[in-house]
Amino acid sequence: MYKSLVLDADKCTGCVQCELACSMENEGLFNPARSRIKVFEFEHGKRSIPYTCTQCEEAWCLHACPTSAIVINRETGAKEVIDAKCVGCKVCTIACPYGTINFHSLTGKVVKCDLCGGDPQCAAVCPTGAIVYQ
Amino acid sequence: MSWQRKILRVDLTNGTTHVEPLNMEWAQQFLGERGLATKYLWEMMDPNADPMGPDNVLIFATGPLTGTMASTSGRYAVVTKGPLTGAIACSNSGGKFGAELKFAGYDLLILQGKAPEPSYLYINDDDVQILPAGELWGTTVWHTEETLKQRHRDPQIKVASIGVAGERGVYYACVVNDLHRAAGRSGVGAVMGSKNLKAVAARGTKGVRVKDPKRFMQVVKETHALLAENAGVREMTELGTNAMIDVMQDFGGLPTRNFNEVQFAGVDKIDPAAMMTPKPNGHTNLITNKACFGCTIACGRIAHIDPEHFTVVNRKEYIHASGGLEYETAYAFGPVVGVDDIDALTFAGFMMNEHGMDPISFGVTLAAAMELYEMGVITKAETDGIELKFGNPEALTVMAEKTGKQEGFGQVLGLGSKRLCEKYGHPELFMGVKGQEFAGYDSRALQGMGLGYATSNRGACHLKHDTFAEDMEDQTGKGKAQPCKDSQDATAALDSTGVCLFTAGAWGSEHLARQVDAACEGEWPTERFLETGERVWTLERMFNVRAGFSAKDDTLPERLLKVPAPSGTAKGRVSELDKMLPEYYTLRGWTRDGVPSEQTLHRLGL
Amino acid sequence: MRVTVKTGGLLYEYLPPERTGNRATLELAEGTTPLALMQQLRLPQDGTYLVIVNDELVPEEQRGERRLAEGDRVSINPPLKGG
Repeated sequence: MYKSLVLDADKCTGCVQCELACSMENEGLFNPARSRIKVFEFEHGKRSIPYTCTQCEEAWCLHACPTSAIVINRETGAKEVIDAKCVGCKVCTIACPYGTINFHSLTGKVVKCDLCGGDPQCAAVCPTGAIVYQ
Repeated sequence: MSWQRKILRVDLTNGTTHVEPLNMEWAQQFLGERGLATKYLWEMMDPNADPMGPDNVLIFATGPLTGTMASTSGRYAVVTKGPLTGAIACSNSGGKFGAELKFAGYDLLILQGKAPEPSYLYINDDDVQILPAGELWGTTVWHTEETLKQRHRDPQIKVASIGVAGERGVYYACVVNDLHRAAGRSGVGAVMGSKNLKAVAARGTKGVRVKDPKRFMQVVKETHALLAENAGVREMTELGTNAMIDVMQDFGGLPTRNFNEVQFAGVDKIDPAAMMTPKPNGHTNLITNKACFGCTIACGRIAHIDPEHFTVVNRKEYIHASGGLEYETAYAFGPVVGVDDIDALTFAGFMMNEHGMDPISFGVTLAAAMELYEMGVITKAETDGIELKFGNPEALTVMAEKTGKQEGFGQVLGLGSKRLCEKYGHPELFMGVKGQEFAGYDSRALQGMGLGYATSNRGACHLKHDTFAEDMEDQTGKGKAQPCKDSQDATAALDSTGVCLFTAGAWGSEHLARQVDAACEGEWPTERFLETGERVWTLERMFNVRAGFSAKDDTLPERLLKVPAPSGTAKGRVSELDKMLPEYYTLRGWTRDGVPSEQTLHRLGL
Repeated sequence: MRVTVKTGGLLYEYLPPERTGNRATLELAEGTTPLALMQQLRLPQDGTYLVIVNDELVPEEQRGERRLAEGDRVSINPPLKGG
């Protein structure tokens, strides 16, 4: 059984430390616009809801990819994008029902959560336990 | 690194915008946010200019840590000449707007002149446009935010805007961002209104880089832990800043009924416990706590009004969640006006956010008006039929809305306490310094607070120094000048980084300096960091000196200097400002008239 | 003797379970000092506190000397900073 990111919106304060940690880990700078995890806010901040790839069993993105650029990491179970194989056709972004694989306009390839290779930084920094890797 | 090295200049008179390099020499001297904006203001304008005229300059400034993973890194400051005071104004705010402006690629946004018609500024990374405000003019902050997100088809836009209060020159109008965070004090929103600028809508996708990411992440890990382990921080998370109200009540430092008293019998009805306890009908005021950008404390309160309460019973549009009571709003809508109806207080808070007004100044102005009403100076004929007595929740809520919309007696309340009291021939009833109203601490019980109020460069303010520990240990004026000066400098440095003052309980200057050092070019040992703070403080003071301020303005109302505290731990005491002030000037290296000496200026490189 | 205790901040967590919010009425031995009361409540000893008895500030050095009396109102607070 793989570990997964457990998101608990009731504990989320909307601080977006997860977005900052994600962008630093994956892009080398602080930039929520390039984060693979997003926090959505509703009704003047009454609810803050973190949201990212669930690494779902069905893996529609993987099946849809015509170049086999999406593979399963045997260690973590994460569906990962192999940049060298991705041609940026965006079929996966249409296939994913959750909208958690996205086109990166600067690199011309898609990006998604890869669980940071087994040490997801969003969970590591979350101050309230709203994001737990277990 | 950490600075974006770019500033965005907007000439509203000519409708032009241009991007220029950040003066890195100034950045190394003044860091960012409060400090750097002060330097630009100093270089760009005549301190004697009319604050509401086109020659005033309005600066939105982020700090080097804004937008980084440093906890509480969402802050930006609005720096300008304040209409409430005529002194330099520096109001900072959290929420998400500041970080977004930085992500768009700018350290500072400098607004000059006056737009020929009501306008707003749209910033989408490099795309900057001055657009007509059209039908947005005359509408609320909440309406403006929603409309701009829809108009530009981007829910991720962050907006800083003014309400009618700012448009119509309410002296304590603020700039509100993200619905309920505000650059609140000194009337910075009125300056924005005087420039015909309704809003700044920002969207940024460029991100922020730091000098040494590996070291920065290590320092951040340590400094996050310091906050997480700190008991005072935990209190802010769980109870909000309003935890202070119970302490001030027992201490006898809670200004009540326009500072005629220092303790308030109704405090139990508006404290954190009251916010969290269900009423008999099952309604609970508090819903949850809420963080600003990057904040691991999350002191913000999200609350809602009881649907059965008189303020909303026929107004469904206010039956929703929004920003709830903090200490200062609880004080300004509670004890100082004698009201203990928690839903009325919450409604007044909604009005401040929706219409863009400073709750502290509004509450203390209303308190003065209530005192004048009870004296018979103001009559019911003037107050639109409202019984303007201390303790009347309807007076609070109706006047909050009228002032926000600038209707009826709300136009008089929009003058601020000083001008209102002068208008009615009782200047002695103004409770504040340099035209700005006091926060929720009585200077007779907290002596260092009195010195901080008197010497704050933006008029009475509790956020520019920190002598709480000294004040609670000893209630005389002894030994207050040094910690007041030291904390003023440390706070000025903190305010120049882009993080929030509420980290100060867990972080010393050394922790901030380490974060700045890992993020920014140059080396930032603690000593240099603190000297930067002193430089900022002194330059603010020089702005005020040029604007005509001197020692005579560093004073408190007679009510605090001569009338003894009627109860509490400081019963019988008055403020000992006369003893503290000369000591303070000496420590600062200022003349007896409160002017920084040539030697002091030279030492600080000014 | 009975005294009423009121706590600031989160210190109510140290009051006995029969507390009402941040208040409790306690039965104490005659002559109990504020310091002894704080020890009895198991407040962390390394903490800084603001202690007020009947509207009178009790500085740290007097907390082990002053004797509480029947009906006293004791307020114990953590070192909060303003907001």
